[in-house]
Amino acid sequence: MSVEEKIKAGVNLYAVIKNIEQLVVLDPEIKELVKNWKISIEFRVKNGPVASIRFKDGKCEVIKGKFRKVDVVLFFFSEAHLNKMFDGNANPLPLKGFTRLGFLDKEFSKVTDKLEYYLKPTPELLKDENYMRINTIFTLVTAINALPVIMEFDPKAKLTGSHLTDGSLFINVENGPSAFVKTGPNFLEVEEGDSEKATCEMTLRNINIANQFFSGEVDIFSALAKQDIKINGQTYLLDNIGLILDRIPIYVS
Amino acid sequence: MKKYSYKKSNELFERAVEVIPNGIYGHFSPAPLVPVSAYPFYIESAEGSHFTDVDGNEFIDYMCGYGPMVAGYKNKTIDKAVFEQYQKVDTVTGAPEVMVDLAEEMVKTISIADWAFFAKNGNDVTSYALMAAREHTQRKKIIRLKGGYHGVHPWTQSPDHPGIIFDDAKNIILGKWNDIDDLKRIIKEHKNEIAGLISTPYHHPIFFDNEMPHEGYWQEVEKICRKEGIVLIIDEVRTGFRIDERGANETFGFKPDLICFSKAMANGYPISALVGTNEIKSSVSKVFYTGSFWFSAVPMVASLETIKYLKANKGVEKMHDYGKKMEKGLVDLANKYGYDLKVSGHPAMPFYRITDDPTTKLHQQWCAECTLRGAYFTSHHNWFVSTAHSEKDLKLTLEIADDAFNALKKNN
Repeated sequence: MSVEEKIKAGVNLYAVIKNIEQLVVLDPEIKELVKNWKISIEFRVKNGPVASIRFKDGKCEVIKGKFRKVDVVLFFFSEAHLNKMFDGNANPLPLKGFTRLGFLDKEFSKVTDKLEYYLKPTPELLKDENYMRINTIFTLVTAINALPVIMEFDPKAKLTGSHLTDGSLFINVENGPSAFVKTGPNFLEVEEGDSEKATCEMTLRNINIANQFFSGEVDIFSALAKQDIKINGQTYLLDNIGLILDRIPIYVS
Repeated sequence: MKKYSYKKSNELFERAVEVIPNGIYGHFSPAPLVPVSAYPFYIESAEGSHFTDVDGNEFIDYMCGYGPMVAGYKNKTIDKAVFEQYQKVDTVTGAPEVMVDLAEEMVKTISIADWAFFAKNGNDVTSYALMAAREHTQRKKIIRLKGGYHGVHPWTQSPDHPGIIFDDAKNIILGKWNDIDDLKRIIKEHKNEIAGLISTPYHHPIFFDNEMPHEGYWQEVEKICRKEGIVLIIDEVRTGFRIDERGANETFGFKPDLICFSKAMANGYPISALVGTNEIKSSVSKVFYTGSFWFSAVPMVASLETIKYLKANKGVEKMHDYGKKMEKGLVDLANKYGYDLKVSGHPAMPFYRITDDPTTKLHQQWCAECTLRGAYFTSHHNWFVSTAHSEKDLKLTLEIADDAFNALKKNN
């Protein structure tokens, strides 16, 4: 299996669908749709990554690995097979939960369609303030959760990972979302955390800057000088994380 | 104490980003300056140990252009010779006479030097040194040490950086500073494959404390290199003419085969030099290496005069003494406010760090507060002092540092 397929699969499972946790909070239509759902779905790739999603009490939780109890198991023969499904060109093999296939086809697909809507912006859509905010949040969540996957398999990012030192990065968008990443040599994990706990901080001036930054449209050196992005603490950590972030567009279209 | 602001610098930067990648690129990029709002970007003029930015703010310069300024901006002795040369010729269809004078001066001054070769930037000669080592040994591999800086050519960078590929590092082996066992391991694993070892005379990485060689380290490295036929290359681009005008190797008691100089060798005029021993001269001569501006006379005159000036004025001793006095003053002030200010590296190019906060946020704040008051301190890089730094500068620096520590205490 190619490195590219492995990374794409990891990003799809661990980063892209992670956004559904926020989607059920931020989008009123989806919030209404899932409010009575009680179902868990496992995505399992043969000899590959596993992720699970659970809807309960109007909330959604996405995890790496398996829940103890699962209603539906969707099996994929390979990472490429999973990626094809995410591109809308293949179907999974259901191993468990045959009676829920109708639900997956009719109801769950509404959630994934909406997720795709927010993750594939057009210049026209980005003019809408609310759309831009949600797109930025999703791009941040995708980027941050893609970092460990990229570091594990991408040869350049793997080398960067070996240069990482013990520390933590807090990324904060003023009046917007934030994220916390813990690091160590060959180690990078998204965690709960705040500015106080972080050894390095990056603050993005507003949601517009954040959107451009996470879309890879910002020249970070210029943005730092213009104070659109502010950093402090162990900034060498950000140098390395920046190198891994730079690799994301290669695998996420 | 009045704090500076940088309206015009910021306006210029807004224009710059439209027409220059990164606005200001490379080591002058404002990006590592934290917070960036405390630092000027564009400079209007400079004299002695001071520069004035485009907003009219005057600073005592503790970066000295990141090293090149060593005898004061607009040094009268050096610039007199420079302007005279300008009247005669700079770049022309042939080599200038002063090239021979400068080579002779370097051979006379630098203990291991039997010859000198001139180029423009430090990286020109670090790369030339590698080529020479490969030609001399007919081997491929080069050892460089983790955290060492030798320029920006692909071989000097990690292949995970943009624009660099793994093939660029195929024949580069990363060793560890001050670690003889690691060096022995590398040599054992690559027996008869290693052409050269390149290192700075002491370890001065950015962001981290600088480290002097352990007792006997360089003697052991030299012994191993001789035994294994490895060319020992010392990169003195940053340390040259600040630690020891004969070469920092004299301070540390060893003899390399090649030494790379630039930065301070011409007090800010653009030139670099590779010097070496006669044993390697014929190999160096075989490697074709040149550049359009490498024969410019003006920087050569500047270099000749700078070296003479430093020797005549005991420049190295003066910078060392200033550095020591500043160290004592700043450390005492830090203690007064309850902070531990650690100083590492050589007094002429010290690296300072407030150890009370391992995240370096406190140190960044203090350096910023000093800069905003007129003492230009960076938090990520070693500083530089020059022979132009005076007792008056020291007094003002300590007053600024005092006020900055006071602000730091209040803000934290």
